[in-house]
Amino acid sequence: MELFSMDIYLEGLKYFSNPMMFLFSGFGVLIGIIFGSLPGLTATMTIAVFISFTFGIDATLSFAFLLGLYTGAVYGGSVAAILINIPGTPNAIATGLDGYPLCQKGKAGQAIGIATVSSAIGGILSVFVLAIAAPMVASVALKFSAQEYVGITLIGLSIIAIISTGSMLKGLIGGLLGLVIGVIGMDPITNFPRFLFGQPELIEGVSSIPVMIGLYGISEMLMQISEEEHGVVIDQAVKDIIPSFSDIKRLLPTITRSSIIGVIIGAIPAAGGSIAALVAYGQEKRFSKHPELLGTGIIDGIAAPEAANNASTGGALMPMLTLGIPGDPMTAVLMGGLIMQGLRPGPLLFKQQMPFVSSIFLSLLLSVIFMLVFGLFGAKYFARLITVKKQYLIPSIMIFCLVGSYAINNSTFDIWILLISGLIGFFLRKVGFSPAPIVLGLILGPIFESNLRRALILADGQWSTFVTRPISLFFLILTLILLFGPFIWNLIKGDKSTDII
Amino acid sequence: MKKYDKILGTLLLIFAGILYFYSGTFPVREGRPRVLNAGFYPQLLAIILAVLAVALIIAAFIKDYKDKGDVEIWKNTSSLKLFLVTLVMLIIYPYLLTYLGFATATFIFISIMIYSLFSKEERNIKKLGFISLIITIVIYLVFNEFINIPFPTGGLLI
Amino acid sequence: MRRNLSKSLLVAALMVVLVLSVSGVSFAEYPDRDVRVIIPWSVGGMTDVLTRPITNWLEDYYGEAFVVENKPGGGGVVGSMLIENAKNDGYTIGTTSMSTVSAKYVSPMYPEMENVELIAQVITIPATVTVNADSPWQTIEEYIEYAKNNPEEIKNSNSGTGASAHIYAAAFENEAGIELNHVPYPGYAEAITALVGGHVDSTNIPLPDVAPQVEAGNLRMLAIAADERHPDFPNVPTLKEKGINLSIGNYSGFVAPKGTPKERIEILENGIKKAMEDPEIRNFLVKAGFQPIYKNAKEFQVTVDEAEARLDYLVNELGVELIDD
Repeated sequence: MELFSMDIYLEGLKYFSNPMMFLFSGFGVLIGIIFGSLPGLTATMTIAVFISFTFGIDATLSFAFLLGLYTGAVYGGSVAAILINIPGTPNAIATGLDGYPLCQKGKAGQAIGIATVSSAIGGILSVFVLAIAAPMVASVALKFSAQEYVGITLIGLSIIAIISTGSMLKGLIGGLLGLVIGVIGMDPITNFPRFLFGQPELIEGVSSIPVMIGLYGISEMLMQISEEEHGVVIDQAVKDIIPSFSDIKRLLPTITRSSIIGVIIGAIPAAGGSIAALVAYGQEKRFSKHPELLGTGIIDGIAAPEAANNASTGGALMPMLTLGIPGDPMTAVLMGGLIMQGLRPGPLLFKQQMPFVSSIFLSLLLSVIFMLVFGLFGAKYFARLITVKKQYLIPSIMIFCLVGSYAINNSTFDIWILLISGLIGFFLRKVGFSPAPIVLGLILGPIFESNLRRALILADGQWSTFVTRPISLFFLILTLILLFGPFIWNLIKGDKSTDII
Repeated sequence: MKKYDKILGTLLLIFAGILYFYSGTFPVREGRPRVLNAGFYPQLLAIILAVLAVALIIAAFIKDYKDKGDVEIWKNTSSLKLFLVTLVMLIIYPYLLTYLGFATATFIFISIMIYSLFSKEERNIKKLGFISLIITIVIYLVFNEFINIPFPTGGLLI
Repeated sequence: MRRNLSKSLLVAALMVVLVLSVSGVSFAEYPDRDVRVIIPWSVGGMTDVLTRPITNWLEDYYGEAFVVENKPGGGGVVGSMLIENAKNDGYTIGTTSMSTVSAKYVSPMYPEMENVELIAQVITIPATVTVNADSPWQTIEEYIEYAKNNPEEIKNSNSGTGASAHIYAAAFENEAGIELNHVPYPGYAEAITALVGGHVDSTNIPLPDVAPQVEAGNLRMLAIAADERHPDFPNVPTLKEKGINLSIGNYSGFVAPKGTPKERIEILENGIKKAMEDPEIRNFLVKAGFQPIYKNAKEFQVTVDEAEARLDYLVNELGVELIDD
């Protein structure tokens, strides 16, 4: 747990006398935004695809580019969630909850503007935390064992109930269906093949990306066709892109809270940006003065998850740089990039390669700034993009979904997963379900189950392990408060308006 | 909505039952906590799902639905037709991709979809064909040339 | 006019197709066009990291592109089966590791080593016995003594039931006469994190993955399961020195579909040999923590046979449960 003096950080500045650093970073952000916003091309895949371009390039330059991609792709995913209700990455699921309704009101520009500014604030904050406290945060993250992961996934799962729009019962059923899909594949502990139906592709489980794109993308396109909305184009008033000072001032507490949540959850390996954004959205619903407006398209509901998911990018880099442990799938790929550069991520990187590490911090900061500029400048064009005739837009989006699913494992198997999810999603949406709980259940389920059982192996089968470990106990209490807090609160106040079914 | 909730609840209940009994056939090892067996967690999920399904059915009987009319899955026959065309196109796309290659499959998909989505009066074959071609070329360049996704080549070598 | 135009377009398209297909059939020396290299694991993974520099080298050497395609899925099963079923003309090759061999014990469909031709092995990585730096065991003897007195008490993290680190652990248990409490994690990174965090007591994860933590003083390597000591860790004994007859670890090498012409295999075997002799490649692999070791097709066969025999012995003779059924 060392603290470094400021000049060590400034050592990285020398790399920036090379103008190529700015070019690579900016170029990375731009490509990241474009690919992240295409439904089907996730941030992970974008990095994986472009990482081979960086072989043979100097390490600092290639990381300026890769971190640009990373920041840009996470941000781009949110643009797609706002404009067409298809989260470009799982991190953007929560953003779509308010982003898309706001876009439907013809305020896509404002939605993107808020998303951009909150993302930038979250991103910048996380860079500073990364630079100052990375080794410390990482050592706290190390304290997390299976018991604590159970707690954190429980919080994530309980938020499913909170964010359900419409009927909470249907939200819970959706979440449970996601959990059931998550069971498919090899049992994480005993290796027993569960529900494989003879398909080796299912050994590692159903990949969440084609399910997500199917439930959101394909089913949304089918909805529009079945309701004959494919001829309707919503006019977009492209104004208010740069948020007003009063809006920012009002949102600042939300953004700060969410950024902190983002950094912390991002730093916990395997938790990642999607949970961070979700938890941020959930807490916004708890703290907000108008919780009932969340989900109808208000800027608060965009600011919270956006600040959190961008703050999580810096968070996820902490365990990677300091421990050699990737915080999310994206940083796992980045880590491969580091190794290919002949650098070994881990505890020694900080000791031996400090100038390089500090160039990483500065590159990340630079890419957040590029993101802010491109985002605000490009919002106008993004918003115009969806005023293209839907007859052209719908087939193109479908192709992106199909191709994106194929590209995950370069196999048509995932296209079938996409199509089945799309069709099921279509019918479920017709009867009042929303896709978010299903996807979240699928993402969180395997983490929850494997850690629950691993925790019990570690504790020799004693369930008490979950309450005797302080951090775990804290998470369990937090889960209970999140789930039942409002009911109890309303009971005390005598308010019966909460709709349970 | 009421009708659909009852149907859905029943389907979910049946599904939960199948899930429960099928998971019961998973191997069990004696002398260790039950939670460590492969079938424990899916059975747990099945039980919760069954409870929720029952709740959904009960709710469907007692709850006041604000929308009295039932949800229409399709607005009218023409939208049903369009829906089916889309579905067929989606289903044959993986086959087209495997046997004809990426470029051809994409062009066929895009052009037929665009053609079907426009109403009869708006269909201008030349214009739609041209736009389909442009979209295909852009998508082809981005995915195949720029990011090099290894698509099946198909019979036409592109 | 319009009909003429479309006609001539059609003719032109047909010509292009013809030219392209003709150019595919050529009598020049192999390889004279792109070679696909299927990696059954994902981008940035172990095999990917070590394969790409070698294929880049081969590209320069042959003057033809070696197009790497990652086909992950099913723990390597999907990609390995793609290699088996690819055209055996030498223009599709792939990589293999011990996971390809162990797949048959865990997957409903699995690749068979008989269905491929071995080309060459490029690396080997030895398994280790590694503990937390704060643990009471300073030497392998102390560790084994404790394990003998307290069976099934030492929590040993692995990369999943039936996955490589579990296999090393099972073989280690068998040779050392001890019993461990196996705790499965999703992969190497998570299993090592658990050890660094002190949530488990030991692991058998191979050297390259534990080395950074050992060098940083977070973990202590008690022994390696190799024939000789590792140059970077001259103080760490081998298990063999301590009377435990175990040399085990993972390997990686190139394979081609069954029936690929022998002379083409030899051409590639030769090229890979030259690549492995290049100090730049060697340095890269060493720096990334691998142990570069060139073995030709014949020697590689021995490695694979040994791995198959060992797994067979563990599963069928000792009844180690790689899969719970």
